[in-house]
Amino acid sequence: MPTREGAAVLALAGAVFLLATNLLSGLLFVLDALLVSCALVGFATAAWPLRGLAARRRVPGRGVEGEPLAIAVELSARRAGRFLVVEDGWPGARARALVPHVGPGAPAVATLTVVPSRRGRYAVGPVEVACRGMLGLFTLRRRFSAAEAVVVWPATRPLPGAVVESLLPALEGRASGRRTRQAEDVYGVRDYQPGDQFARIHWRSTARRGALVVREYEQPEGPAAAIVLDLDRTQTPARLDAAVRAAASILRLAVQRGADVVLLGWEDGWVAHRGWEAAMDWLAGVRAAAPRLPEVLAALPSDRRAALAVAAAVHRDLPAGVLAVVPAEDVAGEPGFTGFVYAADGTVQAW
Amino acid sequence: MVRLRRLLASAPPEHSVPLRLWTMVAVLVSVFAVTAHDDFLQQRLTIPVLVVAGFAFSYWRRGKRNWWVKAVLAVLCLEVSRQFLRGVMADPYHTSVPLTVLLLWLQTLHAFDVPARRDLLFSLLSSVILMAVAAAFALDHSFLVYLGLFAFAAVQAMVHNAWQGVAEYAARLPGPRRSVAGGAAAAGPAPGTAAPRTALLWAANHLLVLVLLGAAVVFAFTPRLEGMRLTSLPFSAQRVLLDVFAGRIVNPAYPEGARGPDGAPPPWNPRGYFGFSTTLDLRMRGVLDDRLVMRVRATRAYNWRGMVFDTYTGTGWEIAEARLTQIDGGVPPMTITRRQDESIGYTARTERVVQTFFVEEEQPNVVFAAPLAELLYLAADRVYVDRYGSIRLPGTLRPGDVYSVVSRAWVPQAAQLRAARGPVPTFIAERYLQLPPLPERVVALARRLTEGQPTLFDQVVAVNRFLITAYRYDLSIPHQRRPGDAVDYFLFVERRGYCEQFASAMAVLLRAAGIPARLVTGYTPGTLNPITGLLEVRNSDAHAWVEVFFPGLGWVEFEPTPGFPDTAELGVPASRRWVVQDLLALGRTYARDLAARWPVAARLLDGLVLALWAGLAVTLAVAGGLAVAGARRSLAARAAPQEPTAALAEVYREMCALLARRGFPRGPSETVAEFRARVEAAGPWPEVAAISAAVEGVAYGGDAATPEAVAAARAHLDRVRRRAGSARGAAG
Repeated sequence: MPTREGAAVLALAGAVFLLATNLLSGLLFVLDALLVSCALVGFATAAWPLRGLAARRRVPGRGVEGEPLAIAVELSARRAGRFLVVEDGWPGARARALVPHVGPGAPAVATLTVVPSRRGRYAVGPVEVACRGMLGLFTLRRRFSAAEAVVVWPATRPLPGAVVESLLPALEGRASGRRTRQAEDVYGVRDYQPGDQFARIHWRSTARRGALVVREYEQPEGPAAAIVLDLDRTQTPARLDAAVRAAASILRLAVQRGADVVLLGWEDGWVAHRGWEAAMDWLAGVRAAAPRLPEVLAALPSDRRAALAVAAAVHRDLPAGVLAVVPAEDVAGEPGFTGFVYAADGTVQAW
Repeated sequence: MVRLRRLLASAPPEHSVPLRLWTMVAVLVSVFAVTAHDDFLQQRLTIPVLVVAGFAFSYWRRGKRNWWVKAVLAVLCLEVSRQFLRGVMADPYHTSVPLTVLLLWLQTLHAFDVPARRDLLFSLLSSVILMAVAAAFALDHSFLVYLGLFAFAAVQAMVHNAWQGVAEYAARLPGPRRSVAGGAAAAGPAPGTAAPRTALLWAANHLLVLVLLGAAVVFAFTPRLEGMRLTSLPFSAQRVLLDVFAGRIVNPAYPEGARGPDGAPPPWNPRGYFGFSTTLDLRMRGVLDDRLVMRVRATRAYNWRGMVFDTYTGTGWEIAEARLTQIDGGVPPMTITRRQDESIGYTARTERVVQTFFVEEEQPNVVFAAPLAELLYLAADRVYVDRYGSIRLPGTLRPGDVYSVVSRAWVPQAAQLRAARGPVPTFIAERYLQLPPLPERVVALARRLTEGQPTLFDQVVAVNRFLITAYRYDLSIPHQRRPGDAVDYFLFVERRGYCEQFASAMAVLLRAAGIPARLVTGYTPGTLNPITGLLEVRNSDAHAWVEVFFPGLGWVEFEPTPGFPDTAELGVPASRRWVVQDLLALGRTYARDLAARWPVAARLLDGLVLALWAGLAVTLAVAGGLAVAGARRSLAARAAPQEPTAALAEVYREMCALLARRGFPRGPSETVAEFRARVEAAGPWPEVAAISAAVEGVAYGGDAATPEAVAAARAHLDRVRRRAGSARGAAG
């Protein structure tokens, strides 16, 4: 594709040729030849570096909404090339980087920083390298096949103190008054297996047996709390994104406080995600496709319901943007709630 | 509308000093190239100084609000336009000069307001237009010096412009600063930051060599089509010819006339041809020098006819008819009416021949042009036309004079000439069969050459061929050693001579055989300069030839002098279709001249040419071999199996593209599973499920992509393609 300058040179070459033909002026033909030669050299210097060019990309598997994500593209070439522009990313998060020079034995690494604007699971497609040549008359592009996937987590925001004070008891299970089995309770001993922590070695048993023996602890009975995300299909994407960010912010608070929390949502049935990464991965790609929240809450399995200490949900009957934090026992009934408001960016404030 | 607003919006100021500097140099070179022409000497100093001042002012004021500058420049543009209109109205036939002055001033004024890169680019492109104007005015190779300098500056400017452009392009997407590291690259610049100067200079110099070499090749293979279809042809405006001769012929080389004291020939002047007078003395001896006398731009190459002689005296020729027709100048062009001898109904095909003559040395007051001139573009109050169609001017032609002629030249065909027969009009026979008493052997020779020839054309050709084959062209002949008829002396004593001897002999022999003929003097077409496209006519190209009258057809040129191109070779396009043909022809001419003068050098040259051809053959063979090897390597690389993961991703992408065309576009953030579910909800697509499962397994499940999996995925894709195609066919 000719650039603006290239189009001008080509137009001038055509006009000068017509003038030269009409005037039978040999010197005008010389000038025309110079213009045509410029165009040809411009095209050649744009096409030449792209041949024999190889691109390899390294992209992190995960990113966070609104936070820079670095993509490294390494260019190696069999021919010298100048003025290359590397473009990569995915729709909504693309970036370009200028590579002034790459040559045989002189690879270049371009680091592109994209800022994902929205959570999601993205397929990062081919790397595109554009070259405008030394004269800037043509822009030629070449795509290099590369397929990576990036999971963009929702953004999280620090919760205000008042919100934290209200949420913590529920998140830590203290609100329900339930005592759960603690992970410190010893279940028994067993033979040492590679990878076991030395701190768990039971020396008395080891001395008796003459072989390493380790303590085995109780598995926790279940999470102390659950966060239920409302995936009502009638809500707008913006509202869902805000709810996801709010849920992520609460989840972060829980992880920071060491609370064992599970994230629940309805996707043709209840799905649960435990652990920070698993939960955030799920939040990255979650879609609103569920019935109304009261209906799905009613279908919550009884054992789950028993395990619930708190359900933080967006209730349809509540005003828009209100986050209801309810005790587990009240999930199926009239909720007694402490209300919070979350903004579009997921910040949560006391209502 | 949005694009228009974006175009009109202010662009960021350009801070790059090298870009501004090189653009300014390119503009200056173009200004000097234009003002090298005499018509623009007044602007030769003023405008360059103002251009430099303008660029400095623009650099100082870049980034500031310059509304008042634009207002002042607008007023000045109006004033410059007013001057242009005044110039055009004063002389509407010479608009090129005021138009060029207008362009120069507009370029100068623009130099004061070039804050942004696009303004500098506009300046650069305007300078190309000025170079085109300079090329149109230029007549010799001195323009190539300006062109070389311009190319140097323009390439530098374009390289710097490219750097700035690519930096802006790279920064156009939103996002934090990008960086580049590794290899030979420095950190990538933000737009407007300094360019790697050394690297750019190196690159620009290498590019310049490539551009110039490429230009030479492109020029050699540029086609030259028929042109000169102009509504007005050029002629000089600077000097108006005052009528000082009243129709007389004045030859600057022989100001006293072509006859010396006591009727003897005047002393030889190598600077001018004695044949451009009212008499032509065949006893003149000497060699003309090689000065360039004029340049001709013409659609066809003809002998440039100057004068016609109708009366043979035995020692030379005279023009018997003194009566002239005066044609007054006015609105150009002047229409040249023909006199009786030319007012014959030509039945043959004629062609329009457009010629422009650029006079380099003072010439007689005669218009040299292709035969049958119809229109004359000349700055003169009047001209005079004699009965033979020759045009006389009020004053001599001076260096720098330009005039144009449109002729309607006749293209005789041999078959037509052979068929010509019938009585010769009396007024033609009376004049053009005239001869003084001739030696009997001349008459006998004429009779012997022409008897038995079936047609008039064959008779004429027989005489023509006889002279070409039996006599030698020689410029070193001595003076006529005994008095007597000059043609008799040439035919039977000297047997060699100048073109005047040959032409006179042919005309006399034809007249003796009863065929009307006359002597014509002028210039041969000249040598084509392949670079300028102009025919360069030299003093030594002055020539004499014969015109023969064919009943029912008219006057036909014949060339009796050996070594000169046959008249059948005239009338061809002045330059060949491809410049490379002209260059090769020029090379052959030089080689022939070289061989004639220095045989040893010629042999060396032959050897060199042979070596060049051999080298070219070897180079082509090596290049061909490399190209074949490269093509094979490229094909092998393309056929090489793609890395499986990338291949699987490619299959998935093709599937998505296919489904998108069938109304199932995949959303940008839609996961593989979601997309599959949506597609399957519309109908059973097991292939889509299979491909999706393979992709998910590799992308998220940690499975390794295998060639077998890729092959299976491709097979599923083919089925998807067939189903999609058959579904479309069914729907259609």
